[in-house]
Amino acid sequence: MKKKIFVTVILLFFIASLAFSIYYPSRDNFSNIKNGLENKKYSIDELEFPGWYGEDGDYASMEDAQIIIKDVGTYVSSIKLSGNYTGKNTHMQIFYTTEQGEPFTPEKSKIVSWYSTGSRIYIDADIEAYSLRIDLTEQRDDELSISNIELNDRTAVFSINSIAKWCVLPTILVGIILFVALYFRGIKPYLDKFKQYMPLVTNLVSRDLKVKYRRSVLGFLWSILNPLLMALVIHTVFSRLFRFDIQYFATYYLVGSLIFNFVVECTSNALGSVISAAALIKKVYIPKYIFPFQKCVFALVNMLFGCVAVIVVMLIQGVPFHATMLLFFVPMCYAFVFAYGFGLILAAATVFFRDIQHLYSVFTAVWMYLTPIIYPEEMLLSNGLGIIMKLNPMYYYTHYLRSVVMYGTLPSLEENIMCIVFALVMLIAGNIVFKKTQDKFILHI
Amino acid sequence: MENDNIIELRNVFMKFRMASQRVETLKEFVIRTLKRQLSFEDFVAVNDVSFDVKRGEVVGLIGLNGSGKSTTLKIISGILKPSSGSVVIRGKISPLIELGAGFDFDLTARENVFLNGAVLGYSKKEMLEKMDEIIEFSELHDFMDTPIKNFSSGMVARLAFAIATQIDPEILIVDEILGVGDFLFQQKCEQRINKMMSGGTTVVIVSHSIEQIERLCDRVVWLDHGKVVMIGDTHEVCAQYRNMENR
Ligand SMILES: Nc1ncnc2c1ncn2[C@@H]1O[C@H](COP(=O)(O)OP(=O)(O)OP(=O)(O)O)[C@@H](O)[C@H]1O
Ligand SMILES: [Mg+2]
Repeated sequence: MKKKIFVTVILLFFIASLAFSIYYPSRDNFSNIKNGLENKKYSIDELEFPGWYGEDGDYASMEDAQIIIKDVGTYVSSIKLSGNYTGKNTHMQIFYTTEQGEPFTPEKSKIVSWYSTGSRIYIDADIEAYSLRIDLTEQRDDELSISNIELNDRTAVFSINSIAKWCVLPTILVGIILFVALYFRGIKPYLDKFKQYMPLVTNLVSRDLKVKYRRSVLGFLWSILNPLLMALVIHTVFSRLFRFDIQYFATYYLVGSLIFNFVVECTSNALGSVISAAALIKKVYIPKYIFPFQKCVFALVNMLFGCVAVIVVMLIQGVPFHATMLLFFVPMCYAFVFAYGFGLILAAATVFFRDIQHLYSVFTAVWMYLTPIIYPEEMLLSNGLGIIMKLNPMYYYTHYLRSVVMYGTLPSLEENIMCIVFALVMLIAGNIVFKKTQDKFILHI
Repeated sequence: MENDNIIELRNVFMKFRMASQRVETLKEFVIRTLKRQLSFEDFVAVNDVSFDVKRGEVVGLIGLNGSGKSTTLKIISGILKPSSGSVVIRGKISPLIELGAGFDFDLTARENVFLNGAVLGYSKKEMLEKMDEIIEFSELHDFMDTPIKNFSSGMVARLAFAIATQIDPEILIVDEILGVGDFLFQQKCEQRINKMMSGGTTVVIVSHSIEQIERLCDRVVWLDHGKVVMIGDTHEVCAQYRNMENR
């Protein structure tokens, strides 16, 4: 009975946080959203069309027609107009302001190129703006039929958003339904067993902690000092050498690497967990998923120590603290589930093929370079590698943590969904693989 | 209780792959698959074994070395899944398969009580309640805070046996470990088993000491090369087994 309430509360929390993330006004605080790549959509009601006549999105231009987008407050890399434009212009002039109430001036303007594909028009902007004005000068009677404007839409590269909307929501729904169905049918014994073995998990975790910290002289301090020194090195090397245009680079790096290293630690520890528990597995019956799970919990504890380092660096660099910081555990939970699922697969595979260990360390190295940790997120996009970024679960987790910790923004519903989908898919896949193979483990360890 | 069989084994087979033919790496797997050398020979350690154990019974397994006794116990404890056949267990098991299962030899005896308890699925609180009895039974009063790597094997056996019996299992599984302790402790263990038995605990014992089996068991299963040779009354089976030895 208690558990039913517990599950209901979790589900309600889940739904509430999703709802919250949709309606939370994430558009202010623009000065911090240097690398805000979030997609923003404006309907024609939210725009102003001086110099046009017509209505309902069908306009013809008069002298000096303009489109004004207020309340932008982010870095704008591209603008997408959904609609048709029948003009001879190949260039437009974009005016932008960087503060509220500031008038548009020619100093803050830019001639930009645009191109159209069917019913869409793309404008390359590359501007940080509070509000925007698009000017189509000296063209009369151009016709514009438009339904909305999107900023930072990446449809030119790969429309993950549309895929997300069409595939992902049903997946989540099915997942939740399955979960509830399982819970009320056969999941209770599993949960009971899990609870029964929790003391073992705590015992093994505290043993791991003792082993880890007894060995080094500085003890617990070392786990905080280590990322701090790393951040210092990264800060001096990268901000001097490469001069990425990122505010608070050390924090940027540290936050990204915190969650990335967490996942790597979970998975690579989980990988060998079953083999190294051979002595136990051969002598006593223990649900075998306990071992990868325990390693993930251990990595989680380590990550919490790492958080201290992040806060120290944020204080040193003077990064403003936001209320959204309190949501730091959300991406960590997502990443935990993801890493645990992945760890199950790796642990099972390693029992049968010992060389997975070496392959995986190569894999994580490549993975790290494909995830924006020591370089800005735009770098992948501007090199046409946006698709890799969008398919990389670690991008979502690092981006999420940075959003809530550094930029004070709440990730959109889509981002949440992508995080959850990656985590759930991994968890389910991991469980299937592990369950199918676990009875044979003992013959191979 | 509509069914008083607490353990039921039906046509259980356990096959092991010969170690020499095991494929351990992905590289090897790919090469062997390409060369079509992926054929295996299986070794049957338990061959079509069926027997039941009633609630509260004490059953002994006897047989020569390598006859599949330990393997059978592991199947009953759930450590091994049989290759085919069915196993039904209707109770909580405490396995004493090998000395020092679930012990960390760097930890002290006291810490190991908690660790071993956790391995068997008991919380720290539950173990704390049983601590006094465990110390009492194992007679390790002065050694509880010593790392067990400094213990003699008999002392480890005492601790293991004390934990396994004090957690009040429904089924106790003992594999040869009684032989390690000194004769006083062996007597104590036998007394303890007798007491558990009268308290309704089911016990499955493997021992090479036929006298011990005869003293403790209600029934005996005789295994040879993985097959059941004989199941029945302790004295009959033991007499036959001795006969075979004389031959
Ligand atoms: N993991 C394993 N892999 C391969 N073969 C195994 C494995 N475990 C046991 N065997 C084989 O199964 C057979 C039965 O072993 P088991 O340990 O059950 O014998 P036993 O009756 O307990 O012998 P003993 O009296 O020596 O303890 C042996 O031949 C052994 O080599
Ligand atoms: Mg044996």
